[in-house]
Amino acid sequence: MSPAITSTIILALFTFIVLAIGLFGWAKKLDNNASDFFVASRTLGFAALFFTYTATYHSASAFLGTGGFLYAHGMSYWAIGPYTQTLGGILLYLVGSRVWLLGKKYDFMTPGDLLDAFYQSKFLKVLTGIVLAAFVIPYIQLQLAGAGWITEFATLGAVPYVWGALISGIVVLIFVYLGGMRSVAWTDIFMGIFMFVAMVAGCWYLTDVLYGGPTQTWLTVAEKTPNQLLLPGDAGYFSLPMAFSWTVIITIGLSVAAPHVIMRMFSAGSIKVLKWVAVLSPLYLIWIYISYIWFGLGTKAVFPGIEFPDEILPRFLYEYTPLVFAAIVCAGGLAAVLSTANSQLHAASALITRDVYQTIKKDASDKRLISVGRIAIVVIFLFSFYASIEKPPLLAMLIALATGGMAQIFPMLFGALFWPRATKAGALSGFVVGTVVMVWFTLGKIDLLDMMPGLWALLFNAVVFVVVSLCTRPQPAEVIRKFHGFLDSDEAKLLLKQSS
Amino acid sequence: MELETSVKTAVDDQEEAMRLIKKHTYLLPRTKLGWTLTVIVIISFLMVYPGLIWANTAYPFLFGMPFTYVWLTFWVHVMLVAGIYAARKLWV
Repeated sequence: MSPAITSTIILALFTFIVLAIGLFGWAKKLDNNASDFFVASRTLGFAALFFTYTATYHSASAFLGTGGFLYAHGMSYWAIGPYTQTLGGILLYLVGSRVWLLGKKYDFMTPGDLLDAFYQSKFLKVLTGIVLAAFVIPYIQLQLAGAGWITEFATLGAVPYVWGALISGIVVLIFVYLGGMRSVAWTDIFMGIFMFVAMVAGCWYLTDVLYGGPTQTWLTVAEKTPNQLLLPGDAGYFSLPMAFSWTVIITIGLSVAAPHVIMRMFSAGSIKVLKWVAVLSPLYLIWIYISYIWFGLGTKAVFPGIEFPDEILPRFLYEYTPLVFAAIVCAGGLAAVLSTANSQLHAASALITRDVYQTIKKDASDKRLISVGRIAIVVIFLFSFYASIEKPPLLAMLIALATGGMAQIFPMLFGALFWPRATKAGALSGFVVGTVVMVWFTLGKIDLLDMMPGLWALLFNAVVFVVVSLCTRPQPAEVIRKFHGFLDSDEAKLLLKQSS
Repeated sequence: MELETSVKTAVDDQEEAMRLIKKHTYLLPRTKLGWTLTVIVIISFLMVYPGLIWANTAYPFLFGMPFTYVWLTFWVHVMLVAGIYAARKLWV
């Protein structure tokens, strides 16, 4: 059997298993209502929530972009990634426990539901829904591009880029369309485990074969590319302020403010589940890179001058390891891609359906909402697929920009959960200023004090939010009682205790 | 008369809102353990930002690994342990 056919069969088998699990999730649905479709009827247990959170976190950028990042910037990666994941875990509980309580009490399903209820603004709900969806769509586009790249590479060109992106995308489309959050969670359990084992094993094997194991790799790197063991790395990009700004923005943007994460907070079966997912997820998220850091740094030291460092992992797998092993690890890369694409597709559909459509069409039935959600999934998929045909770069840089945009929701979310003095005018003005600064600094390539645009946008956003809130009338007493009063009440404490 | 009543209601509502804001605003930890763990997490973060100004060196190698790697790995695990301890002892 030719290598291309062997590889194609392994990838096809993996894709088929994912589809079968997705359909199984659809068959296991509890109910045919919007709550089940968007937040799995708030019944996700530890395994489902843990893997749907972690597998979604690591995307095409994790499998491909990490190699490019380590190759270009060295140790800077270790000063950013693990800190964003650990701080993100702590924030996931601090913010998530309140989001979970309010969701359970008032049947919230999306960030817009919660923000609208506190700030009493349909306009804010629609605006955040559209802006967040706008930042999520490029993310889906990147995943489809990642699927195309991996498939073309792993099948040795037998399945071209466009077909790889299309077929993988259609598989995701089918089970997200049918099963919603429940199918997403089921497939993420399988893909989360698969990708962890594949990435750790693949990079460890390569480190052993090519560089003589971890200790020898460190010594080689120290001898040949010593700057890669320090900040800012060979490329000189990651000064301490730049690494700091990345850490803050990705922590907030990817661990708390991203719409799919907020929807996972709503989906938790109990507060205990959410708590343990929050503190244990960093173990998975950090240690999936344990061997990638040796491989990435070692590759730069031994093979300098590689033109496309994003490709180092699949390329070296196919050059230096047995074919079947390389194909299985690349299927793990496909798992990283699909597990992110499914969640983002689902979240974007929820934003359009709940935050935009339902706000305009208040009397829409549950059946109608699910239909609109499904149409939104198809439209977003087609749009993202079309955009991915242009082969966008898979650099981690793009992910950082997208998270910077999503992070702009954080000040108003913080206000609704922790700061009752927050007002509608403060939330709206902060969000608009933050988003404008984000776009302006990014498009204008403005580099202020060597920190990324997202951090400046967040700072402007937060200052405007606080100042305008303090200068305007507080939200009505009834609303504060409904939110912060409830969160401090015996009823909330009882709800927490019952579910823990 | 109607206008007077509605103004009075608005003023009353604002006063009640301010009372609730005062009652429900607390941004700092409320227990000794909460404070301790928060300080540990903040110190761990400060050990990297800006601590890396002083710890940004590959040597000495510790356990066969460069100093920066050990430093970054150590402090992130301090945070991780603080989180797990909070989950066991502090959080519901």
